[in-house]
Parts: sequence; structure tokens; C-alpha cells
Amino acid sequence: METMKKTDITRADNYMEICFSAKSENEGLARMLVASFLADFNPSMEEMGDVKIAVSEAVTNAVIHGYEGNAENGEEIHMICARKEDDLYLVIEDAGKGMEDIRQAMEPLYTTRPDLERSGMGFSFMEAFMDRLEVESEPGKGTKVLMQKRIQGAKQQN
Amino acid sequence: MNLGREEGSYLRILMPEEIDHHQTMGIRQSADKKILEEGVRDVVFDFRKTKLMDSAGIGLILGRYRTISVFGGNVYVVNANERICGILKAAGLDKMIKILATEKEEER
Repeated sequence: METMKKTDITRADNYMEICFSAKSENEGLARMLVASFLADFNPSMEEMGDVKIAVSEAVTNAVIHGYEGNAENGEEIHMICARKEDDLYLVIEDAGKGMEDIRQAMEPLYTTRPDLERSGMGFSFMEAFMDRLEVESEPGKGTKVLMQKRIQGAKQQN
Repeated sequence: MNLGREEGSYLRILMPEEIDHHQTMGIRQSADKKILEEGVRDVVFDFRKTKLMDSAGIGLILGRYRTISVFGGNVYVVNANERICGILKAAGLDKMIKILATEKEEER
């Protein structure tokens, strides 16, 4: 897979960068913010849903796996939304515990938190609902999820 | 979220507009309390208000299925839109639970 370049995002037509507390109640906030950014693309209902689910999965992973549910010491999630023509780029990053084995973490049904009833489908959902998914992670440093989706909505309707 | 309105021995859970990890934590706790303390047999997840569900919803339904099937009960999903039905089926849940388009189909 062709790697998403930093220039894809920094040379964007439109751009939004946000930091928020790594609390589970902010899963909804993150979805709402991305939905507002995406509205300008004139997406289909389905595309809007796809993107919101992908955001939800990535932010939840940061909250419960990256920071292990701990947001008492100012732990935060960094989120970037960027538009380049019809492409939406999303970056969701935490400075949490990171992952040893990204490939294993991305396997369908694999979860380290069955106690939280995690289905192990988070990355599968991100892959299914977006066009591209890249994950960078380093134990002790954090995890960065990059996603891209071509938004067709407005064109299909015309 | 609205728990209650139990009719007979089944528990109806009115699911929120958006189901994510945060929302499922509260639902799971109250649902399990009812299931264990009140001897509920079947669990009905009512999706009439729900517009979005991420993978946390799958975990929530699977978890209740595991609990309730021990007691011989069934899990139903009712009033879910096409998209949510698609997600449930893609996750293989239709093999374990009963997905009904409307409540009238409820086999009771």
C-alpha cells in the first residue's frame, strides 16, 4: 500500500486540528466534529455513517487501549481532518502505551480486552468503512492511525 | 437508554441514537443487573432510535447472548435499519440471534 505522505495532509485544501481529553464521552464529540468537517464535501448518508464509525473505532482504541481508560493526568487524543479535492484524510493519534505487534492487533476478532467486551473488530471496521488505513505504533510512545476515503456523495446525486 | 418496560419475562432495551463504547458501558451494567436479579429469559434490543452503531454494539449484543443463552433464552434485535442489519450480519450475529425487521414479527 502506498504510504500516505505528510504532504497529503499539510497541503490540503482545508484542514482542522483538534486535541481533546482521552475520555470515552469524547467519542461522540469526535464523531460530531468530523461530521461537521465532512459536511462540506456534500457526502451521501452512507459515507457520513462510514466516516463516523471509523472515527469512533479509532478514538475508542486510543481511550481504552492507548491510555487504558486513564485520562486523569491530562492524557489527550490528537485528531487531524484534512480535505484534498474529494479525499478526506483523518489522523488520530495518542501518546499512550503503543503496540508491540500491529499485525496481530489488526487481526479480526483479536482483542486484549475481552473484559470490556471488545469484539476485536475495531480495525476491521476502519478498514471496511474507509479506503485506506495505516497504523504506526511504538511501545511506550503511542499509536497513530491514518485513514483516507474518497467522498463520492455529491457526484452520485447529480 | 431506557431499560425496563419488561413484559412477561423478557427485557426490552431501547438503544440510544448512537451506540459506541461509551454508551454500551452503562447499558451493559444495567442489563446484566436485570438479567441476573430478575431472571429475565429473553433480551430484546430495540434499535428504533438508532442511527449509528460501531463495533462496541457487536460486543454488547454478543455479551448478552453469552449470558442469556446459558439460561436457554434468546436475543432479538428489532426495528434496526438496513445499514445496522448489514453490520450485524457481516459480524455473523444473525447466526446466534434473531434479527426482526419489525416488532410484529416477534415470535411470541
